[in-house]
Amino acid sequence: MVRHWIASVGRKALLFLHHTGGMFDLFRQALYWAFVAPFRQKTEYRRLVFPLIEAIGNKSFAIVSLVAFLIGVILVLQTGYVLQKYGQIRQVSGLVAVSMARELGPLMTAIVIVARVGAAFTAGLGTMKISEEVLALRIMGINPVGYLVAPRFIAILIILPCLTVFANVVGIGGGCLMAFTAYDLDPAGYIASSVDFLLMEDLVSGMVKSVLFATVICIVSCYMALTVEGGPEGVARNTMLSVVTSLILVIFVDSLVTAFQQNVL
Amino acid sequence: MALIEVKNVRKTFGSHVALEDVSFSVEKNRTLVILGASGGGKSTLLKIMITALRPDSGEVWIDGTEVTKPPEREQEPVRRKFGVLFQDGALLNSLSVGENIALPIRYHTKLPKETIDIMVKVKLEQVGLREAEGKLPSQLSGGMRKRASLARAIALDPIIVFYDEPQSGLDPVATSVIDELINDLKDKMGLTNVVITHDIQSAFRIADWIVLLDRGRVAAQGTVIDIVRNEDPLVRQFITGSATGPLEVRSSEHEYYEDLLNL
Repeated sequence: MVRHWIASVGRKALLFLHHTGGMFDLFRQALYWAFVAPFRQKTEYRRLVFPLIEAIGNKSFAIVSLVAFLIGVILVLQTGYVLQKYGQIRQVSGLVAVSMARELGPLMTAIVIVARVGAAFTAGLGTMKISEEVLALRIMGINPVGYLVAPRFIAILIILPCLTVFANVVGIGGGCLMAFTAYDLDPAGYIASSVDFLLMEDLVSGMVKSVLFATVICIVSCYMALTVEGGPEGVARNTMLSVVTSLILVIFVDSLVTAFQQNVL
Repeated sequence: MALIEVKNVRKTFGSHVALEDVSFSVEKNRTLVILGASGGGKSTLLKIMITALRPDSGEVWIDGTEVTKPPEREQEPVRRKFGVLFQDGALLNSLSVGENIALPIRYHTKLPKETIDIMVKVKLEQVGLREAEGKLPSQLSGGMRKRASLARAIALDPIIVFYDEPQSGLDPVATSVIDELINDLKDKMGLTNVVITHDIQSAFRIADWIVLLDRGRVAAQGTVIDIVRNEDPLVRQFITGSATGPLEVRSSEHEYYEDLLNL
C-alpha cells in the first residue's frame, strides 16, 4: 500500500518535471524564433503577427473594458465605505489608481486573456496537431514553433501590455463615475488626484507583470496544444488544462513579482 | 541502386510490436504500394519513412542518405527530396488552397511573388484544380482536398511522393482520378511513389511493386502478377476480401469462456 502510494507520487513528480522541462524548452525555442531567427533566416512574421494582434485585440477589447470598468466601480464602493468613516473619502482616487496600475489592471486583463485567447490558442493549435497539420509543417521543413508559436508570442507580448494600459484607464474612469455618483466627488478633481498619486514605478510594475503574464499564457497554451494526444477528446482535455494551468501560474507569478517588488524576497 | 531502402525495421509501442523485421526497396520512377489490414503497421511504417518517427532498430535510406539516425535539425535536406499527401490532406485551414501551395515555395526559395503565383497555378493545373486557388480547404470536397494536398506535396518538385491512404473516404470516380494522378506523376514527372492503402483495386491500378503487411511483418511482396498468383491463404484472403481465413478480425487473445468466467 505504502509502496504503491510512493510509486504513484513518484510518477506524478516525474510527469510534473517532464511537463515543466517541456514548457521551458518551448519558451527557449519561442525566444529564439521570435527574436533571433528573424535576423538569420526567412520568417513570415509581418504576414502572421499583425492579423493575430488585430484578432486578439478586437476579441478582447470589449470584455477587458467591461471587467476593468466594473473593477473600478467595485473598488470605489468597497474602499469608499471604510474611508468615509474616517473622513478620508478624497483618498479613494489614489487608492483606485494605484490598485489598478500595480495589481488589478494587469491581473484582470491576464485572466480575461487566459479565458479568451489562451483557450483559443490551445483549441486551434491542438486541432491542427490532431489533423496532422503540425506534422505537415515539420515535413515541409517549416519549424512549427517558428510558424505557429513565435507569431502568437510576439502578438501577445505586444497586445497584453496595451490592453493593460487601456484597462487601467477604464478602471480609473469607472471609479471616477462611481465616486461622483455615490460620494459626490468632483470628476476633474478625482482624475487630477489619481494622476498625482500615481508614480512611474506603479506603471512600470504593472507593465512588467503584463509582459510576464503574456509569456506564461502563450507558452502554457501553445505547449498544451502541441502535446495533444488522442483526437478531439484530447483537444478538449488540454484546453481545460491550459486554462487551469495558466490561471494558477499567472497568480503564482503575480505573487512572486509583488513580493519581489515589496522587497519581501 | 534503390532510391528507398528499408532494412530490418522494428518498432514497438510499449509491449505492442507494430513492425518486426520489415525490409524492402523501391527503385527510381516506380510505384510501391504497401497493402495491409487496419492496424497492420502501414501508417507506422510511413511515419518512419517520412522521418516523423524513429524505429527501435533497422535503417531507412532515401537517395543514399540514412534518415532514421540524424537529429531533427539535420533532416531538412532529405525532407526536401520528398512530399507527403496526408490522409485528410492536412492543409492549413486558415490559408486558401493557393496560399497552402505557395507556403513551402515561399519558405525555401527567394523567388519573387509573381513567379510563385505562376508556380502555384502550374501545380494546381497538374492536379486539375486551378479553379480552387482562392478557396479555403473547408470549402472543398474530400477528393478536391486530397488533390490540393498533392499539389502542395509536389510544390518543390520532390523526387518521391508518399501517400497515406489517398483513396480513403472517396467515391469510386474520385478514387480513379487520384489513381490516374499518381500514375501521371510517375510517368510525366518521373516521380517515385510510395502509397499506403488497403484498396486492392487501386493497388492493382497503380503498383509496380506491392508489399503486403500483416501484423507488422511482411507477409508477401512482388509485382501485381506475383501477388495475384500467390497461393498463400493470407494473401488470397486479403485479395478476395473474405471474412474467414488467417487474417484474424477478432482482436482478443483470450477465449470467450475465459472472459465470461472472469466476470
